[in-house]
Amino acid sequence: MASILAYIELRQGSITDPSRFALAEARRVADGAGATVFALFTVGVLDQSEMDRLASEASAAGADRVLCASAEALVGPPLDPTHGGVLAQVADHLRPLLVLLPAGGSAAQLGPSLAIRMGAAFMNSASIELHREDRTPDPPSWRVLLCRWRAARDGHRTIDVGDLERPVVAGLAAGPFPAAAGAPYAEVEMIPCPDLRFSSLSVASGPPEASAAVEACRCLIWSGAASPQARQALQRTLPSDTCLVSEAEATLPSLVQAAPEDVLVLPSATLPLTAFVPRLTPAARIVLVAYDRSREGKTAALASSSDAESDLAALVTALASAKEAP
Amino acid sequence: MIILVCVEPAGLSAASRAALRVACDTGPSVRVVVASAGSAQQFRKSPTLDPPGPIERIVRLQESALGDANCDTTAMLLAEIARHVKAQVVLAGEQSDAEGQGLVAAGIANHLHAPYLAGVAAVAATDRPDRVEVTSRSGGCLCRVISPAPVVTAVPPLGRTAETPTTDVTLPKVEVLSLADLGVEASRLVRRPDLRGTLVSTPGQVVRNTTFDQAARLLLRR
Repeated sequence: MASILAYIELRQGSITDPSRFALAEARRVADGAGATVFALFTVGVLDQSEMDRLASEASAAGADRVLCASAEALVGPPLDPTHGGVLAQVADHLRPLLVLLPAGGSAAQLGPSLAIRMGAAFMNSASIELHREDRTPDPPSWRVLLCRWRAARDGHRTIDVGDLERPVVAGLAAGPFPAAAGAPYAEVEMIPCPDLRFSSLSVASGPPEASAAVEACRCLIWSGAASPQARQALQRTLPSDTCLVSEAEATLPSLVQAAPEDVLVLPSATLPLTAFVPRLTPAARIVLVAYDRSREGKTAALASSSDAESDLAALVTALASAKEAP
Repeated sequence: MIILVCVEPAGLSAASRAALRVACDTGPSVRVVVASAGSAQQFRKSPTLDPPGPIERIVRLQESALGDANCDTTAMLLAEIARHVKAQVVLAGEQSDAEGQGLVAAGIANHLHAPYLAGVAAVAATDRPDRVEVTSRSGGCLCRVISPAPVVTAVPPLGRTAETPTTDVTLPKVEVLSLADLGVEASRLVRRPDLRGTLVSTPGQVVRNTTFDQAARLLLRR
């Protein structure tokens, strides 16, 4: 049976939400097309209870089998010289049809080298589509299509995994994942960590950046530049997977890696979104938010389209109303 | 320290501009070489190089057979150029403005048997000539990597407003290289299968309109 490998990234000891989405997508494809889902952890030295907790979460999120490479060299963030060898070793052993990498930067770090080592196609910022094909009287079959924007945004590149006859390495968006539904526990298969290819290489990672959440957020709100007070007032009311980014922060390095599923563009935003958030997938939804002048009357009429303060205040009010609504 | 910056033959992408900026920000003791590989036809379309700082050499591998080269062949030739100029650091854009997959830099590393680092924000010399310091962004934090040289690095694009304004910089004369200069047999220019997928034209990203109330409900419902 074919296999799908989902790479799981940890931050501060927890599975990232984009990794849960990668697992959910692997499960969706496996349920349709028939495949075994492998979750791969690359971690520093963990105690058994911690490893069991992570494996339990991964299996409940959709993994059939959980693989783990644990070594001191893997304690830092995913980088090809330290983590790429493990991925290549697992890929060589499993020969997966698909390798799914979560949003947040690991696809750019690990994907290209892995694709070259595997002789695979590489698609970053990809969406997965499943198409049912009826073959009466035989059971229906499913086509697995991977789709991404060309960077020029003048068309999609689409790969039919069944037709390609090669594996595909894909970086995904930060999308939704269902509540844990699978088996709550899967046995962890510990795999050996290959010797570092560049033994003289050393890595010292700094503290998490303040904007780190942007690259893993599921929803991004894009607004004009606003005061810190207005931003804080909105941020207090936003769901945890939603980030507010103003155009004053348009050159944030983490924004380049962001692959949110939804982007809300407020009226005060004027810069071209895709020039600053280049990793939007074909499935991403861009929503232009506008004032409903017929309902909001004078307040809305006074709001200028270039006034970010009004935009953020209007969204705070709308969120408060929506929370109170039955 | 010699830094090779690999750029596209037909115009610089936003990521290549960022790579040039990283190279030129490294300091005065660094020698920056810019290289590209393509066909003469591609170079005719090339706009003026607009570097953010001093560049010591510009080399071009010009070969008619490279007009439709895939990324693996391009990577192999850029790796040979890196050997030719004795580069300790190779910088390339993390994605082109056209296909945007970032495979060339990883391909160069594969051909050079060198470490590959993406998300690179800075490079610096160390007190040892065979070691290079690379600052890379991964896992939500900045990592300081001391790597053996040569190291191949990929630089993500900068947002549009961060591009360097046009400046008057005197550029060195372009050195045109041939395959023979690099010691590459023409038989190595083998086309590999194109794995980019089928191109499907689309009207653009789907955009929909909503009110603040609807946006708030959407945020809470997800």
